[in-house]
Amino acid sequence: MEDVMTAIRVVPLDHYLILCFLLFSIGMAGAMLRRNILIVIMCLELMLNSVNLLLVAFSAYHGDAGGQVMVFFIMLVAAAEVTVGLAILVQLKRNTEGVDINQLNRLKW
Amino acid sequence: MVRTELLAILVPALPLLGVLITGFGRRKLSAYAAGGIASAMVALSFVLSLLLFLGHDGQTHIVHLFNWITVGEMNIPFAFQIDSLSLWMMLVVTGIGSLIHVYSIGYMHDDPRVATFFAQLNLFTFAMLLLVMGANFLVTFIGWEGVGLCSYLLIGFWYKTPEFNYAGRKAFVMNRIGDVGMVLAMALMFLQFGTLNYVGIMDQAGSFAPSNPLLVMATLLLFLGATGKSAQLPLLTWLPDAMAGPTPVSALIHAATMVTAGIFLVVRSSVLFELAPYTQDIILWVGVATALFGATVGLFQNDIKKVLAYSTVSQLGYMFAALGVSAYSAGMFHVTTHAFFKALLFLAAGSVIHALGGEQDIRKMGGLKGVTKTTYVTFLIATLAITGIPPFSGFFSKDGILASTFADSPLAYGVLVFAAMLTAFYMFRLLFLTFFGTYRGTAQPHESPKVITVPLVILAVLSAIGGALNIPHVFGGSEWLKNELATAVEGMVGEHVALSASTEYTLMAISTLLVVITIWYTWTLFGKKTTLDGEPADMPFLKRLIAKRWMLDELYAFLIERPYGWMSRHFFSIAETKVVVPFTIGTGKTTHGFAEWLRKVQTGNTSFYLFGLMLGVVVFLLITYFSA
Amino acid sequence: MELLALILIPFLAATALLAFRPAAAAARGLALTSTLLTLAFALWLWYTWTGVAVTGISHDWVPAWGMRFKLGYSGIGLLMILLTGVLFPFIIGTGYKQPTGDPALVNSMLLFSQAALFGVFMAQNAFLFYIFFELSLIPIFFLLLFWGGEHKRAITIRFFLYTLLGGLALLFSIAYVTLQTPLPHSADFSALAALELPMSTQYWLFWTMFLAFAIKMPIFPFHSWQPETYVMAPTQGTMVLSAVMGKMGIYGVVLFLFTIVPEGALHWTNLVLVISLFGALYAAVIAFRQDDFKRLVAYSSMSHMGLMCAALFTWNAYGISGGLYQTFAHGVLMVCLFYIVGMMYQRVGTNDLSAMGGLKTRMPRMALLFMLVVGNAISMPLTQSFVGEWLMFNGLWQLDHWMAVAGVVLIVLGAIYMLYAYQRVLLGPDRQLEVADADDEEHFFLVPLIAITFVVGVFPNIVLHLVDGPVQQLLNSFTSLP
Repeated sequence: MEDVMTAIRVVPLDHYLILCFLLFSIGMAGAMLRRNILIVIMCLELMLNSVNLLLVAFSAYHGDAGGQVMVFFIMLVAAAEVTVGLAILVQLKRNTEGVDINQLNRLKW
Repeated sequence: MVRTELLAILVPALPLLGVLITGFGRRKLSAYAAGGIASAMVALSFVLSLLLFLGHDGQTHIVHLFNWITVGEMNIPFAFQIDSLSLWMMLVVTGIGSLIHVYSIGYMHDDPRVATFFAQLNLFTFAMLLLVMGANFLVTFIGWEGVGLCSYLLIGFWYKTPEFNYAGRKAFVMNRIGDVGMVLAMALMFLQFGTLNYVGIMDQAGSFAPSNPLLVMATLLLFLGATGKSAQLPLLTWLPDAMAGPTPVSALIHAATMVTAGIFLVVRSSVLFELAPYTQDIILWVGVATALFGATVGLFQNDIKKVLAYSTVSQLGYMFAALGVSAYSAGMFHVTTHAFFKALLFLAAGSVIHALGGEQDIRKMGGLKGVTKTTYVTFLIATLAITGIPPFSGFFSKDGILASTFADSPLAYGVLVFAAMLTAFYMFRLLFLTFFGTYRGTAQPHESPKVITVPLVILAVLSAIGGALNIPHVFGGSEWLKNELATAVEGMVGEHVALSASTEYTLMAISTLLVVITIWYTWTLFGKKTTLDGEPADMPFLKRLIAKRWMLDELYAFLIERPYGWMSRHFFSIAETKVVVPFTIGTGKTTHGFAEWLRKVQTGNTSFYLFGLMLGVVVFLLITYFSA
Repeated sequence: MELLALILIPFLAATALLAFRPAAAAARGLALTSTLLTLAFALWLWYTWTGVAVTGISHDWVPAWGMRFKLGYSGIGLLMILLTGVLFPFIIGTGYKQPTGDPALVNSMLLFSQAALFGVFMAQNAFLFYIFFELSLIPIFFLLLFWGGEHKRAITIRFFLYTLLGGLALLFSIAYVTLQTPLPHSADFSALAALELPMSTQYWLFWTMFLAFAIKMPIFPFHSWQPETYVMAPTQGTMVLSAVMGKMGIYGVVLFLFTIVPEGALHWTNLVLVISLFGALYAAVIAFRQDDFKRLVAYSSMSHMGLMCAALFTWNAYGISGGLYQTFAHGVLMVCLFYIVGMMYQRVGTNDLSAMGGLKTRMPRMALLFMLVVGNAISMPLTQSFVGEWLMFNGLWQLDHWMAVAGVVLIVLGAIYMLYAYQRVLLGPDRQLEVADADDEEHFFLVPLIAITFVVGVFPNIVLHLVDGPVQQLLNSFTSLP
C-alpha cells in the first residue's frame, strides 16, 4: 500500500490538478453540448472519475485513507447510476426511435 | 335611613317592574290591564317619592347599592343621591308621568301594540329616574342614554312610516352628538378629580380658581351634552321632528321631562358652572338665541304639535338663560311650571287630535270650544300660563327668569321679553285658530272620554296655581322652592336678585303689558277667522326664511348629512375597493406575474440546466474568492 | 389537569366526529356536549380564580433547548378562555338552525379550532403559542374552503395567505427573540419578558410581531381580507373568526408587544393609535351605506376592533382593562349579530338590506331581540359594551384629548349605522314578505346571550377582576420605561 502512495507522489500535485481540471472540463463540455445520451452518460462518468482521481491524489498527499474509501463509494454509486441511466436510454430508444437528449424536454414550465 | 334606602330603591324599581310585566305580558294583557299596571307603577312610585320628600331632612343621602365599575384607581358605585334637587325632579317625573300614563290609557287604547307602548313608557320613567337620582355622572349617564333610547323607540312607535323612523334616528343621533361632550366631560373630570361622584367633585371643585381652563372645558363639554338633550342651538332640529311620536310621548318626553335633563345636569353641577363664568356667558346667549329662534319659528307653523314643539324649544331657551345668570332656582321653577303647562298643552292638543280623528293641521280646525269644552278651558289655562299672565304659574316662573336676566344683562332681558311677546302671538294664534271662529275641517269632532280629560283638569289646576310654589318676596311670598332647593344646589348660595322692589314691579308691568297688547293684536288677526287665506305668494324674505325654520334642517342636510352619505359610499367604492383591497390582491398578482415570467427558465433542456448549474458554481466560487 | 382537559375534550370529540362520522343529531349532540363540558371547566377556572397566575402543566418538550410544554393562564388568558368557553356552545348551537354542511365534519372542524384556541390562550411558551396560533387557522381554512359562499376558493386562499404572512413574521420574531435569550433557549414567556433588547432592535421587531396581530384583529390597513371573508364564510365560520380568533390579536399584543418589546411599542404608540382609530372611524363610516347586511356587521366589527387596539396602546389601566374587557363584550355581540344576519338570510334568501324592510309586523319577537342586541352594539349603558367603551374612552383621554375625541365620535357613528340597519331590516311599510318570526329555538339561542350582555353590563366586575391584577403588573413593568 505504501508503494502505491509513494508511486502516486512521484507526480507533483499540480499536475494531477491540471489533469483533473481538464478531464472534468471535457466531461462537462460533453455533457452540455452532446445530444447523444450515451455520450452524455459517458461524459458524466468522465467527470466523476476526474474527481475520483483528484480524491486519490489528495488522499496520498495528505496521508489520509479516507479519500480512497470515498472513491470506492463513488464508483459504487456511479455503477448504480449508469444502470439507471442505461435503462432510461433503452426506454428512450424504444419509445422515440432515437437517443437524442433534447427529446426529453417535455417536463418543462 | 333604612327607610330612605328602601324607598329610594323602590322608586325606580317599580317602573322597571312595570316594564317587565307589560313587556313580557304584551301579548296577553288587554289594553286596559297594561295601561292600568303601568300607570299604577308610576303612581305608586310618585307616592313613594312623596313619602321620601316629606320625610326628607334637608341632608344629602347617598344610597349605595353596589360597586359598579372597579378598575385600578377607579371605583364607580351604583348609587343614588337623595337630596332636595333629585327629590323634586323625582316628584315632577313621576307626578306628571303618572298623569300622562293615565291619559295614555284613553289615548292609545285602540292601538294593537298598546302594551308595548306602556312598557316603553315605563322604561322611560325608569331611565329618567336613574338620571335624576344618580349619585355620580356615570349613573346619571345610564339614565341619560336610556331616555334617549326610549325617545328613539317612542318617536318611531308607529314604525311603518319611514319619516317617523327617520325622526327617531335623528333624535337619537343628535342626542349622541351631545353625549360625545358628556363622555369627554366625564373623562376629563375623572382625570382631574379621581371620582365621578357629585359630592366628591363638588367638594374638590372649591379648591380651583375661577375660570380655570380645565373647569371651563369640563363645563363646556357638559353643556354640549345638555344642548343635545335639551334641544338648544345648534342641536335642536330633532325636537320638532320628534313630534312624530304619539302625543302622550310628546308631552312626557319631549316637553315635560326628558328635554329638561340638560337643565337638571347644569343645576346638578352648578358648583362647576359657577367657577366658569365664560361657560355661563355662553349658556346665557345660547339660551337667549334658542328662545328667540323657537319663538320666531313658532309663528308660522300650522301643525298644532309643531307649534308646541317650537314653543318647548323656546321655553327651554328661557331656562338655560336663567342658568346662564346663575338663577338656578328660577330655572328649576320654570322646569316645574313648564312641565305642568306644556304637558297640559300637549295633552290637550292630543285631545283635540283625538277628537278630530287624527287631524293635526290647525288650518282645518276652528270653533272647537263649543264641542270640546273641557279641552278648551284647560288649553286656555295652559296658554295663559305659558304667556305669563298673572296669576298663572308661568307668570311667576318667567318673571323670575326675566328679573334675574335683567340684573345681569339688560340686552338679554330685552330679547327674552321680545320672545315672550312672540310666544303670546303664536300661542294665541294657535288657541284662536283651534277653538274660535268656525270649524273648517271635515271630521266629526267629539269630546274625549274622562280618562283623557281628568288628567287635563288636574294639570290645569297645577298650571293655574303652580306659581304658589315660589312666590317672590315682592309679593310677600317666601320663595319656598328656592329655599328647598338651596340645600342641594350649592351654587345657589351666590344667587341673588339685586333689584329693588320698584324695579321689579316695573319690569313685571312692562312685560305683562306688552304681552297683553300682543294678545289683543292676535285677536284682531285670528279671533274671528272663518276661513284662512292662503299663503301670500310674495312673502317678505325674512318671513319666508322663518317659515322655513331658518333653513336649519336644510343647512345640516347640506353640510353634514349629504356629505356623510357621500363619504360612506365613496370610502367603500373608492378607498376600499379601489385602493386597499386591490393593494392586497395586487401583491398576489405581482407575485403571480413574476412567477409567470420566471418559470420560462424551466426550458426542459438538460444542457441548459447543466449550464446554469455550472454558472452558479462559478459565480459562487468567484464571490467566495473575492470576498475572502 | 383542567387545562389539559380544555384542549383534549374538544380535540377528542373532534377526532371522534371525524373518525366515525355519526349522523346529524348525534354529531350535534356530541359537539354540544363537549363544548358545554369545556364551558363548565372554563367557569370552574373562573370561579376558582384567586388573582395569581396558574401554571397547570409543565412537561419536557425539547430538552436540548430547555423547552417545556407548559400550559397555564394569567387573568388575561383566563378572560380569553372564558370567552372561548362561553361562545363555542353557541357557535355549535348555530348549526341547529343554520346548518353549514355535514354536521359531523363541520362540528369536528369547529372543535379542532376550539382546542387550538384554548391552546393559544394557555400556552406559556412562545413556540407553543405559535403552533396553536397557526393550528387554529387550519380547521377554519377547511370550513371556509368547503362550505363557503361565492368565490370561496379565491377568498379563502387570500385570507389564508394573508394571515399566514403575519404568522410567519411572528415565527421569525419568536425565533429571533429566543436566540437572544441566554442558553438554553427555552422560549418561555417569562424568559422572553426578562429580555432587555436594545432599542434599535425593538423598533423593527415590534412591527414583525405586530403584523401578525394587526392582520388577525384586523385593523386598518391590514383588514382587506376581512369583509370579503366574513361575507363569504358560513355563519359559524364568521362567528369563530370575528368573535374569538380576532381576540387572539388583542391577546397577542398584550402578551408579546407589551412584555417583550415594550420600548418598541412605546416608540410606535402614536402611529398605532392613529391607524387603529382612523380605521375604526373609516369602517364606521363605510358601514353606514352598506347594502349587504353581513358586510355591514363585518365593518362594524372592524370598527370595534380598531377602538380596542387603540385602547391597548394607551398605557394606562383604564385603556388596557377596557380593551381586554371589550373583547368579551365584542365576542358576545358578534355571535348575536351574525346569528341575526343568518336568520334574516334564511328567511329572505339574501343579505341585501334593500330586499328587507317592513318585517316588524311579522316578526315582533325578532324585533325585540334585535333591538336588545342593537342596544349592546351602540353601547347603551347597562349593556356590557358600555363599560368597556367608557373605560377605553377614559384611557384614551388620559393619553391624549384628541385621540379621545376621535374615539368618542365612534358612539355617534355607531348609532348612525346600527339604527339605520335596524330600520332597513325591520321598520317601514309592510312589504308583504312571507317570513316567519323567530321561533323558540332561535329565541332560546339569543336570550342567554342577551342575558349575559345585561348581567355583565350591570356587574362588570365579575369580568374586570380577572384582568385587574395582570394589568397592574403590566403597568408596573412599564414604570422603568423612559
